[in-house]
Amino acid sequence: MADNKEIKLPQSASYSNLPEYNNHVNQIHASYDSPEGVLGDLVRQMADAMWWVKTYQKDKDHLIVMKMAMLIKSRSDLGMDAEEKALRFFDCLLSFWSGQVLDSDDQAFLDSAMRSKGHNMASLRADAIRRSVKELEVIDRLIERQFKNMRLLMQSYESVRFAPQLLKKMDLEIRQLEQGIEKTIEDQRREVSRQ
Amino acid sequence: MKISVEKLVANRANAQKSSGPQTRAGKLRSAKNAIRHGLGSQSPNSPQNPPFLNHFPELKSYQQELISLGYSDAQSQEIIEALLTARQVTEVKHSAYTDRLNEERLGNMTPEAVASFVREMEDPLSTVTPMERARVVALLFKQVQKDNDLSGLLFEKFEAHRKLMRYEQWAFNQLRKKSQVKK
Repeated sequence: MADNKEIKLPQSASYSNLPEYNNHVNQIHASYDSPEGVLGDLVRQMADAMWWVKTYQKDKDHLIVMKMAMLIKSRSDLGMDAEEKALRFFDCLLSFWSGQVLDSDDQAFLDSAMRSKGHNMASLRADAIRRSVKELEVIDRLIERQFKNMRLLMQSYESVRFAPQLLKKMDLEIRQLEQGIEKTIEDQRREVSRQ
Repeated sequence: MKISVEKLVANRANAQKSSGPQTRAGKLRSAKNAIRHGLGSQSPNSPQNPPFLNHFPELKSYQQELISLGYSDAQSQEIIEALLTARQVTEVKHSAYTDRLNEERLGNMTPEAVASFVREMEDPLSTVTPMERARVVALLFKQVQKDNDLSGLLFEKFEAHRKLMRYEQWAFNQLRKKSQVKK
């Protein structure tokens, strides 16, 4: 479902080879000054997590709209006609929710279907959301997981990026500690020799 | 083109007649049938594993890079291992997020039509009881409903990702843990 408007059910639609996915990853990579090696790999993984957040959000909307379409589709509709009808409902509803103006045919098609089920647009959407609570919860958990992944990747990135400075700082701290201890031991020896 | 119940039942019946793989190569291949993504297998990405290094030639330079940043040999290997696991999870996520093909779906039909197909496919000499037949019809109709619920089909992709969440969590946690500078 690369295109926001177009639903590709039921066709194969993998993202990793899509130009828009690659553009997105390249853009994020460039915004980090195009690091190479391990840092570059980490940035690409972060870009991937960001991509999934956007994708989940978009497909979550599609899921609600599809649920709405399935709710106004007549139960007696069977065969390919039923699916075409559902997809037409989907198209009309998606256009409506994305703020596009429907042509009169589509508007009439949608209105009559909703009327026959005793719905208006708001009640239909509310019903669809109510019936998809469990699914929406799963999607929200997936989105939350991506944010956590991003945070973990950012921490890894910072660790690798600042490793030399951190190691230098730690080395200095260790030296200071060693010197302090050496000084204490020296002082003790002096005290013993004085006595 | 969606598959009909008739074809599905015929395919299943023919599959029952199969005697399974005969050759060693076939047996080896079918032994991997149940593997979904391999993320649960133990230690799949060891940089010490030569085929893996051959598959990802950039790893050698990654290791050099990490050592030059001050990481130890052992830690750099652990980071690479974690990085590869994270990469693998990402790839599996991409391949799992696909819509089901039409050929893998049953056509939309009433329970009566499913029952009539099942009766037509039945061997006249079979000893299937009406109760058993009703169960088969119920199962097939359940599948018909599932395959024709477009919102359910959309959700299948999310469900595939939900199953991968624990691997994601583990992989990215490992990556953070391994890349921390140790005293």
